[in-house]
Amino acid sequence: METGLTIAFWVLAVVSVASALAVVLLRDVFRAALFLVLCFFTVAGIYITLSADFLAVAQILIYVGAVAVLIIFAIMLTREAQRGSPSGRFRLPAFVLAVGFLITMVLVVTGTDWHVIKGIPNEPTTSSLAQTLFNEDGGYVLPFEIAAALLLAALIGAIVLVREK
Amino acid sequence: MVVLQQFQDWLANYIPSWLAYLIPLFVAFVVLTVFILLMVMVFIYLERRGVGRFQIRRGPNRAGPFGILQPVADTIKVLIKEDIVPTSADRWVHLLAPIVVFVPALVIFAVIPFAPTAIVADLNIGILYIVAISSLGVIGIFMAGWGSGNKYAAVSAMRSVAQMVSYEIPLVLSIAGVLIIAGSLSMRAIVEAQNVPFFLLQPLGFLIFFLAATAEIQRSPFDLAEAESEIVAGYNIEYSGIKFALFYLAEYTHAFAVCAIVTALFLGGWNGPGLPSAIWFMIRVLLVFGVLLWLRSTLPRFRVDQLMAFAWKGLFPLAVINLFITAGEMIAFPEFPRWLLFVNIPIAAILIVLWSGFFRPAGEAVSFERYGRGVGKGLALTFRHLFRPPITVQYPEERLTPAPRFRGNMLVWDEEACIACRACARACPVSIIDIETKKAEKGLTVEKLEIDFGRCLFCGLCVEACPKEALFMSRDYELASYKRGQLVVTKEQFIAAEKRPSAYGYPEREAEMPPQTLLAPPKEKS
Repeated sequence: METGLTIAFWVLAVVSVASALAVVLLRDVFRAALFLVLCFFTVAGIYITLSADFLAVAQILIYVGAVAVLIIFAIMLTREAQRGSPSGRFRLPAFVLAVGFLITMVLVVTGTDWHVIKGIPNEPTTSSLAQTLFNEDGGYVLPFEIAAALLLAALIGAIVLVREK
Repeated sequence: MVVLQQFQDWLANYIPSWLAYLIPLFVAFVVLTVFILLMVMVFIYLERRGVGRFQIRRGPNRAGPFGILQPVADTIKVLIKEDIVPTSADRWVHLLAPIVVFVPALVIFAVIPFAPTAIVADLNIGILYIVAISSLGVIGIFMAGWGSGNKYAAVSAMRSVAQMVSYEIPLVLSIAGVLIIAGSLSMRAIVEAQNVPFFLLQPLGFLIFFLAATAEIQRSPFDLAEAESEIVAGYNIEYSGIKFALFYLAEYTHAFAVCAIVTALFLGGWNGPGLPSAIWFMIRVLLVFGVLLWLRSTLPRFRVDQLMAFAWKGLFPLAVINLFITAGEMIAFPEFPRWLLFVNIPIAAILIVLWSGFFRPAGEAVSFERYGRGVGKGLALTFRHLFRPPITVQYPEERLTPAPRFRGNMLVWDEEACIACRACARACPVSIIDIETKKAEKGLTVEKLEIDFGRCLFCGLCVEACPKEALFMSRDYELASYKRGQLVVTKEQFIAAEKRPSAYGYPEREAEMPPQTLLAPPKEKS
């Protein structure tokens, strides 16, 4: 099992990093979006190797099935996309911002004291998740509901913004 | 699961454990793929024959007994066709699109429980896996629509994504009702929880799921993305050969998957007395597919705005209400007793009737006359068609008998009766009768007769002009040749030809003619 997992991890890691680079470097916006899909997908694969099956499926359902589809939808509706990548007026500021973000992320990842669980996660994962989420002393019900309310507000806001007068 | 695990455990005694884990999975994948491809062929055959019967046709019946070799013939045909990539296409996106559509349809089957022991991976998130995987197909359709460099394909991709994103919501919400009752996401546990099939406990959820799933796989009446009459097959338009075959395959694999999911979630899966459980499962799958065919051959295609309205104003609120009712019942009766079906079925009926009052699909209120009785009558009609003999004429073996005074394509000339008066040639408005006469002992005889049927109007004036009973219209209706010159008929050919004169111009002969047979069946007595 261990050998198989290692092989799977390296394949997924290489593909996900390569596709992430393709997203940033490709001139063709549509192809970049497709590589984004591949990137999301391989990340889901890495979740599976970590026995986080629910998270992996949620990743595919939300990021591939919804977010990526909406991004591609937006590209199809953009006139500029027909002629390749839009003009690069913001190339330098974007590069600076991206490097800053990368440095922050690397510092956070290396600086955090990660809790590593040695054992195999509980099976089935869904009921353990539900118990943590909705346990006796409240669990995470409040953050969960706040997130729902936030999404609803965003939804209504979007409708109000684009509504014809 | 069980069979697969035993295989893995047995293999682990001989080879490294990770290989022993992977090899049975690979074998299962190959076996499942072959099984699915065979089933897809069966589905294609059933669809073509079935839709034929619903429309009082015969369907394909030439290749092999009952036409069962038709899918094989179609496969070979499509594989040897030319593979075309349009110059305006995005080459790689165009080539990859069929694969991106097909693979998700295939991997859904990993969690389909054909029988208690025949399931590749009994994931504890089974149904969620299906929902996630089936949302991938839309990316492939997007790639096909964008990558083909064709505006019809692009329109189709836009329609398709709007449709799939919209119908996914009622689909998932209607599954949630089942999950509440079953208390698990695992497909096996859901089937095992069904002492009473869930379509009785969740009638509204079942209807919503069935309609939304039909929309997700884009079958009629939800087939807007490949509407042949509007956007000429949509995203398929630039695909040929094996790439088109993959799309076709994906369509039926999806249909099979949806039938299997409906069976597992709502119809009790493999449960049933006597027969092996996998057989029970497949019987139900085929029944669901039959209903899909029935709907397809009855209902016309939705309009784009009607489609969206149906999802957002029709199915979505009903699915939310259904979820609330189910959750409420679960809190009140944690055991979810069987008698709740007598509550849920009336609730579903009342909700559907009430909700259709709010919902205005074509700018006017839904009337029972049109959407209740009307659709019901249509479905009843197509169902009755199943029991009527097909009206198809098997052409070379069977022919229709034309009307007694039919003006067919070749004249019948009686050399004995002809007096070579040339009245026919003079009567002909297009002057195609070329006739030369010479003196004989008594009157005239015909030396040369040539008629060009390529230019004939079939007006019948020559027959009317004939003073003797020497010229008749024919009852034949085949007029085809490889060269126009072959349509010129000479004297010798007239003499040698098989004579089937029609009664045109000779009403007294009408009684001798065989009665006419029509394409339309005789009217039923009412």
